[in-house]
Amino acid sequence: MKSANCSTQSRAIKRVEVVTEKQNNVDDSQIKDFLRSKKVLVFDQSASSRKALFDAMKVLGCQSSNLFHANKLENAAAIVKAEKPEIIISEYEIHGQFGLVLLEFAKNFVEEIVFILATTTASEASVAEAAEEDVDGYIVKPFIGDKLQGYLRRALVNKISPPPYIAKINDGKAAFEEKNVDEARTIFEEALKLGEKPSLAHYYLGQVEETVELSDKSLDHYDAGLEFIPNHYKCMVAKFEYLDKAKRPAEAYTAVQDMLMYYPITPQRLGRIIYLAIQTKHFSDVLEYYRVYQDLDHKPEKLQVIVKAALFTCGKFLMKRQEYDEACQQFEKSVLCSKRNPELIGRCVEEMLKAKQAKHADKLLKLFSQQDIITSKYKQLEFRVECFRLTKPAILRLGVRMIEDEEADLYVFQKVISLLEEDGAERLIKKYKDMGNRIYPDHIELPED
Amino acid sequence: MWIKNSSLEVEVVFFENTTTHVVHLEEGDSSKVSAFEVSQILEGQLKVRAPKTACVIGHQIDIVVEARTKTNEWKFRSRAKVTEHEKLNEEEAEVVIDLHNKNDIDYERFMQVFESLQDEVSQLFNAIKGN
Repeated sequence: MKSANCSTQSRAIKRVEVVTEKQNNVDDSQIKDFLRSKKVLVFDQSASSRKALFDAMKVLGCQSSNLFHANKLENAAAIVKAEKPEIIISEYEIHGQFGLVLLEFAKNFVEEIVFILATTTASEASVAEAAEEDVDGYIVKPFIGDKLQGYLRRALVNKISPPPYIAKINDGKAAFEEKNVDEARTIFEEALKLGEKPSLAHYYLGQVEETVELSDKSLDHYDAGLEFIPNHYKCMVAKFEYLDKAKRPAEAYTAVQDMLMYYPITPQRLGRIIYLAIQTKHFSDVLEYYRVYQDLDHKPEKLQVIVKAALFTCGKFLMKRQEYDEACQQFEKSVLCSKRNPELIGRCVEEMLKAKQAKHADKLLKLFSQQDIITSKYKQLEFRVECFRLTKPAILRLGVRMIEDEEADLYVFQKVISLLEEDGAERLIKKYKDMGNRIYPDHIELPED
Repeated sequence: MWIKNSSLEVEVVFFENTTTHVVHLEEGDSSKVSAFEVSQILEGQLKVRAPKTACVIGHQIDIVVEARTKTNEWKFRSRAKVTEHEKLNEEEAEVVIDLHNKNDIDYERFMQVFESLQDEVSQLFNAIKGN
């Protein structure tokens, strides 16, 4: 029986090197002391989950009077403002309200927060997103009875008594945030000697160097970090971002490919990766990224715009290669991503018409919504598609009707006039040329097709 | 080669109080599913949020629990005895049920799903943290 985890999916994911947690030597009494005066907010709509978390926190040492709960973000925010809880345990999402938004809000009121996600959401993307943010623990629901306390304890212990290496890193981060670059550099260099595999220290040294100057000194640090731990997430991401900033797209995209062997794409990064894929002409990858996009729990609007544009660009690339079926599929996906934007549909149809692909143009035309098929733009596109199918008399009748209904564009005028020219209908030619020139002065010529 | 969403949905899909002979949740009845929730998995026990009147201590129940991801599904059926009953609010209670089928291979597989998922999540989380 397959277990419900990502690594048994169809793709082969390399095993992530286990980063073993250091022994913190923190005993229960230290945890009780730490928690005695701390306020805890549980943001969760489930009464039984709240109860389980409250019970576990009380066993660990919290006072009942310091436990608060909320099931709506606005209520949670109000509690944060009033009580300034140092520990927040939150669902990932409740009715479209995201727990990480609460974390960002709480940072304005509480200096040192322990933030733990306790959630049914267990996608790689959400875990990665949480780990990149200042989340201290990620617990999956339903809770496994006697282990809940252990998971909570683990998240707390790293805050109470971090190992010397991590404590040094934290000092360095504090100096870095204060913009004391030289001091930060010194501290991180000291950290190099404390860690068995100091990839994190190298990562921060790279970050320090980037603030001084965008040079390969940073890249050297990221690569040094990857020497210790080849799949160190922060070093991999930093290397990718550095190469991207340094406008080395081919190398940046290679760095992305390496990263994606081990780690999921976060929504924040997906847009940039798609853009790079287009820039480096990895068009076949865009379809894979689109599947990733479809699976996202949360699809930011900016990302939708990028995905839509990328799919359209892929479609155009495939048109150049005369792969019209695949191009049509990409255009369709782009249109669906845009929620059937009529302007985009029009552009897709025009691409197909330029290549004389009437069948595909007609397919794309059907993507117009009901309210848009009564517009002149739709009728003008439909006319062009019909020109491939209808007989000349039928085209002429349709075109004339559109002109009389004032729905004709330049193409319709030109087509009607050219058909009349074949018939030698001088009086009608003059009539429609005059009408056309009033709207499109000096443009009424024969169409090139 | 890309991510799949491995969010795990766990649902009580059937709940019958065999002592009172009342079926409180039929399989396929989506309207009442939200009234039940598995909140904790204990050794040989489940903690379930249920309507306050569904059962009391000492009652026997039949329960079917389903766990689902986008690509897999596990079902576990058991007879159980209610050993704890705590009121959560005016409508709901949290009950602890002792599973009669806890030695079945189905239950072991069911437990494995949750344990391995948490292990994988923790591993990925810690790797990305990079500490």
